[in-house]
Amino acid sequence: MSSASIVEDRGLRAWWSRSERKVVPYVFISPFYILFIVFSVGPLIYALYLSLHRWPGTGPMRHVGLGNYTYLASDPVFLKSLWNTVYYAIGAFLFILPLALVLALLINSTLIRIKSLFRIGYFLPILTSTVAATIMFLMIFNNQFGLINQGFALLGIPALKWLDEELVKISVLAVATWRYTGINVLYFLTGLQSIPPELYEAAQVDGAGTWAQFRYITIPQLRPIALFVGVVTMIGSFQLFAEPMLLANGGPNDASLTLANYLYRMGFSNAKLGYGSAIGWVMALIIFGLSFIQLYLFGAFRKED
Amino acid sequence: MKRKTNILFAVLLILSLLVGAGTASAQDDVTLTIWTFGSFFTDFYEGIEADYKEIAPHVSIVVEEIPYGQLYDNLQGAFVAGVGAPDIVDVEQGVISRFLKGEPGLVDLAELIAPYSDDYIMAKTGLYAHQGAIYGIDHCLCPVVLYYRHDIFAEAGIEMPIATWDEYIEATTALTDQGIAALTLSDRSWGDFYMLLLQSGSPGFFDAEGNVIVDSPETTALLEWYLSLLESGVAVAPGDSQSIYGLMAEGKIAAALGADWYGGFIKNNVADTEGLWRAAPLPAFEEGGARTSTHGGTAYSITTQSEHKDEAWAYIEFALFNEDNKIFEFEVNNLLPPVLSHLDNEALLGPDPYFDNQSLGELFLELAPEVPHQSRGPWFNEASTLVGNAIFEAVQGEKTAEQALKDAADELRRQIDFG
Repeated sequence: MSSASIVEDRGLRAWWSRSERKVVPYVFISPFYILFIVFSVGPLIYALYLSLHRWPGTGPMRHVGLGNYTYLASDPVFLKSLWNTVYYAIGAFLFILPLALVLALLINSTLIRIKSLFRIGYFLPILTSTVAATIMFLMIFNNQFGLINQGFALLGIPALKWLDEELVKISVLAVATWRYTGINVLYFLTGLQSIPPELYEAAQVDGAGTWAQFRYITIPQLRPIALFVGVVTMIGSFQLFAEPMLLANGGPNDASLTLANYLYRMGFSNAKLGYGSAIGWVMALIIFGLSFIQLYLFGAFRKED
Repeated sequence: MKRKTNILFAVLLILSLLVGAGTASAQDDVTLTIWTFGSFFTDFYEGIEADYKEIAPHVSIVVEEIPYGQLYDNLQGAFVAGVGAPDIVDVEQGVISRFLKGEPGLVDLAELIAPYSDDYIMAKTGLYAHQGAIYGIDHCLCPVVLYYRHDIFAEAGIEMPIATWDEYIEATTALTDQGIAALTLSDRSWGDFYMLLLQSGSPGFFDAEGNVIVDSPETTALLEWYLSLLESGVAVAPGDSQSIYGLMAEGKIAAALGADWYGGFIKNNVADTEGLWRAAPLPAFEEGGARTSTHGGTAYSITTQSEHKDEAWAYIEFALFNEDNKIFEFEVNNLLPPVLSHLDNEALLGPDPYFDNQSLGELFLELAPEVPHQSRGPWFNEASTLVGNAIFEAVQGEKTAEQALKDAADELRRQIDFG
């Protein structure tokens, strides 16, 4: 062994003994970030590159600069799907989250005894295959023979077309409510149960009533979990895919189409990879922006006193 | 130490011999991979495997059944990546257009099918063709007929078959007056409209040069007629297939247009009405006009990535032009062969108890030469979505037929220009 390599070897060893504690943790977590870079960051950057081109997946790419993005602004179906998606997101905040909070409060209260009974209810919808569940809902919403319209007929109420232009978004929201309320109940319940009971005891000693306790203890203490639930719900709403696809194939006349559905239609069914990537990036930016606003409003960036 | 090295050396030597032996005998062997989406195709491929082994002992067939949507996303991924595509793929007609954009990853089969052009019903190649190349050869003919409840028709004194649509509409007023529909047409998707469009002599949404003809006077006139059927109650649009089958079972829908496979759907979904159905040629748009159309299909395609294109075509020839195989395929999946000389096979001509012991095969044999041509190309998916929406807008009264189709055509041209 030559003297040079011994020196080199010593240098390496010295470096290793100096840096071992810094490097080893990264090696241990490397399976995560290697996969993350290969399957998330890489495609993300490639999609950004693709979004500046028109390309059907084979043959030459045509560079169009921001052409895909300017086309988006004038694409009636994109704007329709954006509005539909916003509609679902608002619906989720107006229906699913309040419902989940009320149910969580009820379950957490002393009013309800057999709490384990409810546990299966949180998870069953989210564990059920979306396809199977949506097919069940198709039977419920069917115009001619559906459960709801049959029930209406018994009551003498005229049948409604649940999957037509006017009502299809409400039907999609109904399926989403069934599917996602339970898991949000669970989140809220976790938050409620982590509130120290001393706070309520102290408030009772001070003479606070139920409403005052809810207003001044429960709500402020739920802030972190509400933020989490809010952000997750918003992201989930913007990524809604299977329910409108299976219920009405995004229709009729694109009335239930979401951004994610439109991305799939353009990127895959129509083989417009560049345009699909542009839709994906717009989606990502909207989600990022809305999450940021939510975090800001909930004071996530404020320094704790 | 030395002994250990010797043992290791011996093991390596044996291993290298084994590997060498393996590659030597594998040199002539060819494995063809087929991607398909339905168990009814898998059953067919597995059923003919042993026979093919006798003809081509060196060829092994590996069938991979992948769910419909996923199969074509995977195929697209393989084309984008440049690796991973199978040798043969079953391309369903509804997804072919996306694979015709750019440089198609599928092999042009025009020259290979040419020697069969007298026997193979070439009208079916239009679904998979673009700029003179043919990228798929259909498994099936999918001829369209009119299925009808002969009991209800007889009670109303309507004699079938009826020669023209005008006469059909007039004759079925007897049913319409009782609130029974004599047709079912979709108010939101393109399929039923497209069947009638092809029957009327149009090549579809594009002409032979690939120009958009969605807003042509002929297409507009046909949509106006389509709307009039729905308005007058001759046809109903229940919105989804389950409702259609329900209304058929109740006798509220007495007839429907559909391909050969749709007869099977009626049979399976409206089983209680066994013996009450029959099939007739479609009434023509004018005396002597075409009495059928075509709806659906799945083609054999070979990918450009395949290293065994000749073997792949030889296998397709065996599967498609061997009469025993096509009859077997009909038994497995009910798909009628698109090959004229097979259509008079006894096995296809038998009576069907569900259809009042009628021989549907005889009807299909009679209509096969009239199956219309069509031109589709790479923008068909965009076109069909837009036309489906246009039909919906026109039925809802949001737009006139003319305006709806004009808007759809303009948007389609805009999308094609955009590329």
